[in-house]
Amino acid sequence: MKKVVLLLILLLLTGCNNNYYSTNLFYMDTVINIKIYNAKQEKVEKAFKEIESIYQKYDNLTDFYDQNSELSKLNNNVNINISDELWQLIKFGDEWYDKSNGLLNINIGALTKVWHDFRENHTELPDVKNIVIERLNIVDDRITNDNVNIDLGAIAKGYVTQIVGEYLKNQGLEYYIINAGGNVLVGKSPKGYYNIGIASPISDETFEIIKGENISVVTSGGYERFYQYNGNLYHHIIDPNTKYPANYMKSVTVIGKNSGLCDALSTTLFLMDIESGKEFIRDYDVDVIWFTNDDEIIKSDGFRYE
Amino acid sequence: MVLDMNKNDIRLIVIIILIALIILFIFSITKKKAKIANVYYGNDLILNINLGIDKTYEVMGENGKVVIEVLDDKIRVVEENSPYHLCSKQGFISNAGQSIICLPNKIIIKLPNEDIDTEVS
Repeated sequence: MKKVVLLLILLLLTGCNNNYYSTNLFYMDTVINIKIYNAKQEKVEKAFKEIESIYQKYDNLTDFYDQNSELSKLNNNVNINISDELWQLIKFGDEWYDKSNGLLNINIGALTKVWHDFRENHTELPDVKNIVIERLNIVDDRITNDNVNIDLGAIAKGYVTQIVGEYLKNQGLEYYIINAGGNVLVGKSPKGYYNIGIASPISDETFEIIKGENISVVTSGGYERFYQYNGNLYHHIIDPNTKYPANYMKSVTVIGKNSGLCDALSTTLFLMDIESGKEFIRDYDVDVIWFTNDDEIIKSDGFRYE
Repeated sequence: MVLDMNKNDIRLIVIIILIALIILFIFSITKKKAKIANVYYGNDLILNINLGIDKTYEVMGENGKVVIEVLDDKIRVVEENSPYHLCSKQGFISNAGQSIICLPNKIIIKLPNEDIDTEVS
């Protein structure tokens, strides 16, 4: 009898012994929360400093709306020399042009800027018909377009988050959660899995909880940054074909191993209808949840996180 | 140990399992209301708020004063200095796991949710 009670008490105690260190960083237009479990304080503090410098560096490199960022300087003059970090990120983005059949085009800045100004300044609906969006032309590691207008918003957060995750792993800090807004990357979990909630695009609740470790979960949706005009919602993910905010769904969530891939893929899937998306992901080792315009939840075939 | 168990032991185990199932059931049908709120300025936890007491709080954010109100177990930001006032427009929150983020002020109000480790939004 006593043994049984003792065993139960022990079981209860083991359930609440998860010590972690946490920090909030304010970069890339979002709050980035990082938790590290099972580690010594000095090591964690050093890691937090390094992680902050990584996000800060990429923020300074890629901020589309900061005239002093390296990206803005490149957009003003395509012939300047840029850092290898920015170049690798641009090349990563350009590869997605082919992978997404032109749906994810990082040279879309002229269009995203017009829609951004519309949302922020609440002006009349912009005339986007005459805005021409080209593909980047990269020959021998050089951009050969006369002008570029690159916006890395669709890929930068996931790409940098993946770099941070790899840094943590190399430091022997394998138990972590990185949450950069719509972009989550988790390492190992002390209890064998993390509960990762997915926010509903229509209410303040989570509509799904993903249990897993060593995964990335990324959501794209138009519900967080939008502007309502004449009864329509105008958000920040622009379809290069229609030149208007994409309207195929309310949100799409991609679960996979690599945060850079999940981020690029979630934007790509947001830019195509759900049936096409189901076909598209056959080439990738990912699981997907679509939140439809009719508030239905559709999961990819063989969904692995039930 | 299993061999040592008598009827009373088994009865106790069954009762405990039943209680656990009932608690699990209650948790699953009720949305969890938060009892406390944590307020952060950047990284620093600056305030622990009891949502059971109706009260107004003032904290300092990046752009000055941020006024937080607790009313009927709910919490909201009523006044702050920012370009779009997104966090005061958000209104009341009360469910565990919800948060209000005043990005320009670096003020975060979090209603802790023990069930979820992190949330994608």
